[in-house]
Amino acid sequence: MSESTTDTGRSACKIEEQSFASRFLFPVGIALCTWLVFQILSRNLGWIENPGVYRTLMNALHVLIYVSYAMSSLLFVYPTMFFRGASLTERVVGSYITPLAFVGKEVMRVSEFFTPGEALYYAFSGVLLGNLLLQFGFMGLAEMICRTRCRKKYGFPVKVITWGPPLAIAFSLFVLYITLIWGMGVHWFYIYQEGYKLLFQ
Amino acid sequence: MDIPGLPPPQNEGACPRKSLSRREFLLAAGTAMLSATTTGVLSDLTTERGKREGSAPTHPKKGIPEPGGEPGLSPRSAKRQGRPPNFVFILTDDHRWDHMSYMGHPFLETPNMDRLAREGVTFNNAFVTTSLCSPSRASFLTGQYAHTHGVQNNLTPWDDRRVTFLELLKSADYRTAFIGKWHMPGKLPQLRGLDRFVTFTIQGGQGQYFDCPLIIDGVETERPGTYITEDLTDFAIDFMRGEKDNPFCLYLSHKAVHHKFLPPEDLKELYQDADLSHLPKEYFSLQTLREGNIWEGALGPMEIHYRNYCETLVSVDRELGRLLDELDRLGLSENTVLVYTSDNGYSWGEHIVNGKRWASEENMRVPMIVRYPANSPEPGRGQNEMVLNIDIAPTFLDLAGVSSPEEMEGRSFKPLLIGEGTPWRESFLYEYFKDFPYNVPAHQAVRTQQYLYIEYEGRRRPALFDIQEDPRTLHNLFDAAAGGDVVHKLQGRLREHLEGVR
Repeated sequence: MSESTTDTGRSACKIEEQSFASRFLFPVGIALCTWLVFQILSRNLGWIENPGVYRTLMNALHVLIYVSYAMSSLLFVYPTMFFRGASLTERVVGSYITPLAFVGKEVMRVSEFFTPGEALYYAFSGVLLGNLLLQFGFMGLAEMICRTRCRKKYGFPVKVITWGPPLAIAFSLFVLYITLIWGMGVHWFYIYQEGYKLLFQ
Repeated sequence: MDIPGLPPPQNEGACPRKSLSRREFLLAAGTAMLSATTTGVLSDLTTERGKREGSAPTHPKKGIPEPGGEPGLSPRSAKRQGRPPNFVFILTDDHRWDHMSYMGHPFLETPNMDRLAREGVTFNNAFVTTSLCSPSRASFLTGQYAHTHGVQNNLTPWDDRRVTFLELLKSADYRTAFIGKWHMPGKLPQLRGLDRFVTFTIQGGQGQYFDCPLIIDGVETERPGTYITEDLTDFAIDFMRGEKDNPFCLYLSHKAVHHKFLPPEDLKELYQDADLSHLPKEYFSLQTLREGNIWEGALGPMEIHYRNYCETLVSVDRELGRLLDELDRLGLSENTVLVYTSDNGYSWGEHIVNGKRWASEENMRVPMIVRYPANSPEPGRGQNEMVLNIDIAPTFLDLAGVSSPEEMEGRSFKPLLIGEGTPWRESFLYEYFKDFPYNVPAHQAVRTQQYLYIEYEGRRRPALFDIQEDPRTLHNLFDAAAGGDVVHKLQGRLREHLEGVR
């Protein structure tokens, strides 16, 4: 296996690049399949008669669905790819596959009752767009966690904080504020609605 | 036509109490408005019109009274000699039809709504024609379907040329007030025929439960330390006191019990420990995480929101009681038509939804209690005919002895209220227009006493429910019944409604 020189953080950790299947397909596939399984399960629990069991499972599943599409990059995909030698580009692309699959699924779903243009615009809503842009912050955080682990566990002299990851986190926090926190999301919603009127009415 | 129970006209020869013919009404209204212009009674009205339309306004809809339209009758022609009834119209927001203690709710206590039901007539089958705030509100005011008045969703603005029953009552010498939630798209309206207009625009017109700034007759006013339901009721009571010697129409439009479902301080946690086992089997606490549900805005565990909703309803009931007591104190109860209703219902977990937009019983059906002691026999009775939000305007006009414009698509339910048997509608049209980005397809439905048939725009298949057998609309019979007589008839009826057959 060759060692990539495209990523300062990973190369400084002297991590060997594993095969494409191992460093990319495996973590991405696991995250994607996990999300899909949760999604399918959540649609097929109506047969459970016991309300307590049903509600516990549904609550748990919907939290897990959210975690699996929104936080898989932070919790699993990015770190796994990092330590399997994936390049920065691969890590970013890989981290985005499940969140993008979720957005794609939502766009397809709402295309049942919105025009194709409206369905695409739906992806710019606070919830979906905010989730996509939050991934930058998660990846920045994951990058710093991975570097810290390299430094502490393996003793590599890697610099934990460079300009990139904190900037990504700051950007994500800004996006989070604008789309979901500013007026409890109401202000972005109205901006979004104005955009809709401009484009479609 | 005399209104039974009211004093006879004092001067039969001069101006008998009667329902005016359409032409008489047009003449009277036009002249009354012209006269009002000169006397300054409606100076605000004419100023608005003058600004908007110039000196010779014309209405695009045939037959709707216009100021200065046709001279000839005395401005008092539209006024009856006896004291016509007062109207107090109380509109809440998202109050579903079965959430009152007299409806058998397991823990909710609404003694004043119960009192109203005992003293009035409960319309057990009351519906809105669009289960969404803005269109439904416009329907109450105009007596028209959303496809006619144009406020089809929360994006399409109110057209100031629309005629409201308040305007028509004003032309019959009523004193009028709109107090509370307007919440229709666009800027605040230039409503004609209002003596008092108290509303709010904060939070996109939704208002806020605490310290909600009000716009009082055009003047923005901070209201620190207030709770919205109490504050609006104060204004309502103040108006009634001021107008107790005149016929008046009070339109009291509450913010409650809309999201965020915030009760006043003293009612917080009233139902903290209440048993919620009556909630539908399919709901779960975090259902707002489910796809599309987030747009309804009720993030967090549903149980918390539901308890808050019930506590907020108690505050509405309490304020209703205050208003009823004041009517008693002023001696106005007997001759006041008081209506309590809601702009739409609300689903609390049914079909795993928090919301109100789909054509379902939880959403379309609303509470409607009408109390009119002077002219409504057998208090405490229920009526099972299907009455609609679009019926309110023609009913009020009918009770006031004012003819309804033909453009009003609703029908007066005065005969039902006063205990006269009358043939009634066998079906009605429900319509929901696309309201991006809410995850509900545009759809049209026809509702009969037995069936609900729905056609969706887009790829979704139609739905047919037997309401008598399946009131929770859980079993779609369309595939089994497709091609059959029932579906065929309902499809035909839906087409007729869409073509304007009432």
